[in-house]
Amino acid sequence: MNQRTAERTGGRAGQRVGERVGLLRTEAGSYLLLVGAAFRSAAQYRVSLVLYTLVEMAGAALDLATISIIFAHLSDLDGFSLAEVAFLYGTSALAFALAEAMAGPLDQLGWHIKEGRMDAVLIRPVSVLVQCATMDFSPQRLSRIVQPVAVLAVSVAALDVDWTPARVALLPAMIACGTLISISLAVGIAAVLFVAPDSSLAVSAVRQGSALATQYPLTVYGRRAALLMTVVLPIAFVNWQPALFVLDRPDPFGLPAFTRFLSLPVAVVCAAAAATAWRSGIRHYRGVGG
Amino acid sequence: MVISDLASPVAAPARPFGAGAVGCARMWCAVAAAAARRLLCYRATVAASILSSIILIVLRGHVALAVWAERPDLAGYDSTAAITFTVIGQSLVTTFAVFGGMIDMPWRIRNGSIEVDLVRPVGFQRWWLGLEVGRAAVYFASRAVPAAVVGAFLFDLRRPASAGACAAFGVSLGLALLVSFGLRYLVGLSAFWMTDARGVQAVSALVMMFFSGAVLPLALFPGPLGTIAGLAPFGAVVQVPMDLYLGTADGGALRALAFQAVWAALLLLAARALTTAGLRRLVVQGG
Repeated sequence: MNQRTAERTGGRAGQRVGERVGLLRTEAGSYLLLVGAAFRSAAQYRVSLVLYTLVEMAGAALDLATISIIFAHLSDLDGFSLAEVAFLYGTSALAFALAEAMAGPLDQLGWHIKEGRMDAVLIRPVSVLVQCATMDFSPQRLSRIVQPVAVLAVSVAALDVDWTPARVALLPAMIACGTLISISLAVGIAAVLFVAPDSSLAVSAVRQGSALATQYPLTVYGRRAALLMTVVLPIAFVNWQPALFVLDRPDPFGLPAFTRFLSLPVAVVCAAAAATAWRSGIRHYRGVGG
Repeated sequence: MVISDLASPVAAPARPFGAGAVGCARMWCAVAAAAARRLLCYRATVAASILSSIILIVLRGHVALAVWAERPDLAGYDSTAAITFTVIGQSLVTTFAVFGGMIDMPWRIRNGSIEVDLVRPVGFQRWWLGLEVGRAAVYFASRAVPAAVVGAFLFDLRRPASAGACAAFGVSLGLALLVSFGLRYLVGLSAFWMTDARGVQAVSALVMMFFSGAVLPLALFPGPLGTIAGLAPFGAVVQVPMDLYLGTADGGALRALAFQAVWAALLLLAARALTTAGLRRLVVQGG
């Protein structure tokens, strides 16, 4: 390869990266535009807005009520105190609530496909993912983060750990990574709906399952399931692994200490895998003749 | 579509299933069978649904095991009874649609296609019940049974307490479906009064899930919450069938079945009255 061709290919690669960044910025712009429109449309119906906000807050309370009832009978669950389980619950619920607030309930996608609304989505000049994420966007859903934040604040105050700068810094980082993993899970699983549009319930159950799994200490599920959720599925990295560091606990399954800091790389890999699954889902889409 | 062919009064002879109560019952069975056949068309969905049921069974089962390991004999269940309750109760969740919905009446009211349901040669409420019976039968065979079988491989489950308990469990499954249908049908009817019934649907789904016993056995609910949970109709959906299965029903099997039957009758009667009231309010634009 002579120098000129090398330069040219280098230039082309640079141009391609530039195009990619430009495209990303355009898509982010469309996302914000559509989210803004959803906010303005919700503001038109004030009573409805308040009611739905309360409904969404109640929805988040169900799992917390379950944990409270369990701890009304027990002093600790598998060696984890109420404050520690509340910390796990708070970080998990916050990550999943943020993910759902941002990407919307993607399990609605199956219904849109069955109703024949997907064809129109595919011909619009905005990415399918941005449109799907904003299609059922409801500002009310943001209220779901209120209760996990409160639980997290209470548990952080009640935890008996030494709040070193590393611990304090890891807390927001683990929530950001948990949110990214959760969005990737939602997008990756929703891709199934392009092939099996009737499985919305199954898709939402998988999301509920991963949300539920992260609310309790992973030791509850036994060694095999816990290792499955660490090595094969990224679920342990939503909150469990970084939480072990914050809670200052040794890994009950004897995994090396560095796994606690793997949430970010795991989140990036998940996002890439989800993007691939989503693209392949779109390629396999068959219209219903809408 | 199978269903519309079946029920279209124009295409079919006036009374394709014969006159009188027998004809009516046969037509109703055909509605249920058509609803069942329609659901069997989506094979991938069945597989996905079984998989998700199994995920929830494994998670909830392990949480139950951990709780009962800490406090054996909590709430009158030993560890095996608790795990049986959780696994089989959880596998019944899809059959009884404990998470609400499955009756797409609100959507049909909103877009006006509900008018088609009004000209069907079978009563409005009976039509929806027929669809639900067909759906529940398919869900029971294709989701509940496989999920429970897998659960039995994964956990140490108990068999029904006796042959009588098994029979009572079977009867109570039928009654549980009626109660669950009554509750969800009433929620669906609310769309006649509200343009947007999603709020009611979301709240009712939460309440039903929590108070049905599918999340935690109701006996664990402390104080007044436990009293309310014991009297509310939601317990008739999962808690009562599971108590009959395990032979742990308070006051015997007959009392438990009567509790379900009374709620089923009350809900279906209320649904009937409100159907009439709702249909009187209905306005379909265009058509």
